Amino acid sequence: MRRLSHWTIALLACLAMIGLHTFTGEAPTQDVRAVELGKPGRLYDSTVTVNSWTIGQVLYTDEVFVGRSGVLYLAVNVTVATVGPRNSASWQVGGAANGRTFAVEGRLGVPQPGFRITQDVVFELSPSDLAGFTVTFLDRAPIYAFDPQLSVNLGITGPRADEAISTSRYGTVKAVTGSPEVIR
Amino acid sequence: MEAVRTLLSSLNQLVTTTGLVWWRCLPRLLITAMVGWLGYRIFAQLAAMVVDTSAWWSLLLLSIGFVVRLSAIIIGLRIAGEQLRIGQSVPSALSGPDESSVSHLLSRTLLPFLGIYAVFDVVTDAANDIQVDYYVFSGLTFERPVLSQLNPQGAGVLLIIGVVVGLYVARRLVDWWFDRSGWRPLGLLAALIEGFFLLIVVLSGRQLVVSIMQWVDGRAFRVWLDYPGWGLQQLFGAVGVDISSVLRQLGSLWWDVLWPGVTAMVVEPMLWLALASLVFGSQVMSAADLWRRGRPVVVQGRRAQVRLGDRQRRLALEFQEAFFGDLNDKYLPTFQSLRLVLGVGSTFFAAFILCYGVLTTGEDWLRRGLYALLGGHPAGFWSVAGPPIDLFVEVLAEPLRWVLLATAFHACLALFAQRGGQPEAVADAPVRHSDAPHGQEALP
Repeated sequence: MRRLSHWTIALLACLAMIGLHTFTGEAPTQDVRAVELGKPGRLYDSTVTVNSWTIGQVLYTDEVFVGRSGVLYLAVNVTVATVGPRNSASWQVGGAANGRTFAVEGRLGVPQPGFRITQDVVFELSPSDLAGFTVTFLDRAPIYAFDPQLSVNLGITGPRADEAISTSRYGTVKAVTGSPEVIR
Repeated sequence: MEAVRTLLSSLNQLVTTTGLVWWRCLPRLLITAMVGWLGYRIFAQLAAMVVDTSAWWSLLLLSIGFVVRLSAIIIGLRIAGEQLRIGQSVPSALSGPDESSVSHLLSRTLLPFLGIYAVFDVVTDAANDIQVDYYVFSGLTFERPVLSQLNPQGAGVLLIIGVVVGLYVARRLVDWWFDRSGWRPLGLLAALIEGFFLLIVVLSGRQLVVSIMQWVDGRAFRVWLDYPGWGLQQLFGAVGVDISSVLRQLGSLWWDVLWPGVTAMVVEPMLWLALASLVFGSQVMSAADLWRRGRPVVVQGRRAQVRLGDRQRRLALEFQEAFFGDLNDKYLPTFQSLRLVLGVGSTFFAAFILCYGVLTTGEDWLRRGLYALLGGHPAGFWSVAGPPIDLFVEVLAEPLRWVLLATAFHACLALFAQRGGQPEAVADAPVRHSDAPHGQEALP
């Protein structure tokens, strides 16, 4: 019995340390910075501003016209401006809510230096994932390193999500691709 | 309750002694850690610079870097050991002037050291760092995979086997010369050759295993291996259980969640403690020890047993030294050290695991905190800012780790003494006054 209690202590210590290791996880390869809705955030040679968002069950873009029951489309309006001397081709845009991650539909257009594009990025998600939705922007450098990443909380609280769903659940989301404009 | 009290007492002992010894030896430990880090970084950077010329040269420089790092660890452990007076409480088999020299310890500990580094991917990470540094220096290119020369498929299996065998023979020759002359630089040269040898074995061996697995995957008989799995699937499918999904989830839980934690938090500290006990010279029992104690070598045939008498003993010893010298010098001591630290008791084991885990996690969080403080930047920035961060973290954490290992080993010895005897490995091979070589201290 005495021996058993000693081994139990050892086992608990091992489990505690394994738990600590799991909680700590792998070292991140990006530095996540939170940015508010409507405020610009910097990623290397670009700035990203999330302007607004809309939802609906039907998605209408230059390329697709699609409606699907059981899901909704979330279009996030974004302005990307290349303020530095180079534009990057390795952007990763994603979404997260309720511990799940979402891939963006289509690609984000990144303008040439000195230009900006205002466009929509679209996510397909379940209505229950709308509250607390966060959009992330990562400009991955050519050599894998500790790159900056922007995380924009759309500010969709539970009541606000319910309100949006009740008013726009069956609406049509018109997502714009946008065209480059000169930064003045 | 008693188990908790013992755990708290062990924790208290480990933490307070580690803190005290660390504080007392701080200047020497800091200098050792700094010199070790600097030596490793210099050789790693040189390795990245010459990788374009030859991956072999690059690997040689990297292995020198590892030898420098191991030397710093050995010196750090010995500084902490001196403070704890471990030398007086260890019935050391290594107390002879030659055997306790750094070059001898290097040769004895290189295998477990690089083994630990290989198991925890430190060697592979170092090779990857060379590649990244090369890209930072020379620009990103996919036309020339810089370390492909170490891939058996790229370099040719025969070339790699030739280099490995050549290095092994060269090292044995240098060892032999060192034993005859006792000239210290030769011992260091042997350690450098061995480091190079082991690094090639680790990196190429990994590639070789991958190549063999790919070859097996491409063969028709590979399908036979799937039959038991399919049979199980059918069997459980009949009762409505998707066994593949269950096994996949269990495998994912084990390999993605539990196993990394077990290796990093349980296996790694025990391996490091085993390495520390090698440095401090736990009394290890090798095949030669068995021989010295007068047990005859017995060659067992199927129908007859041939006993070698005194006349053949010298010849047999020469043969053993030539072909099994490594077994005696490295593998058995490592195995015995591991047995020693595993036999110390569950509560002490728990306290050591907790201390080591907290130290490792603290080191990790400190590094992450410093990276987060500087924010996201491209690789060019990190190739400049990364080394000072590493230096800061390593100079803080490494001495603490050395002292913790020394303290834990010292506590192990105290625990064995409290039990009124010696650890298993020692008890099996007690050293009598008449048997003790090189003026070795006999056990009371």
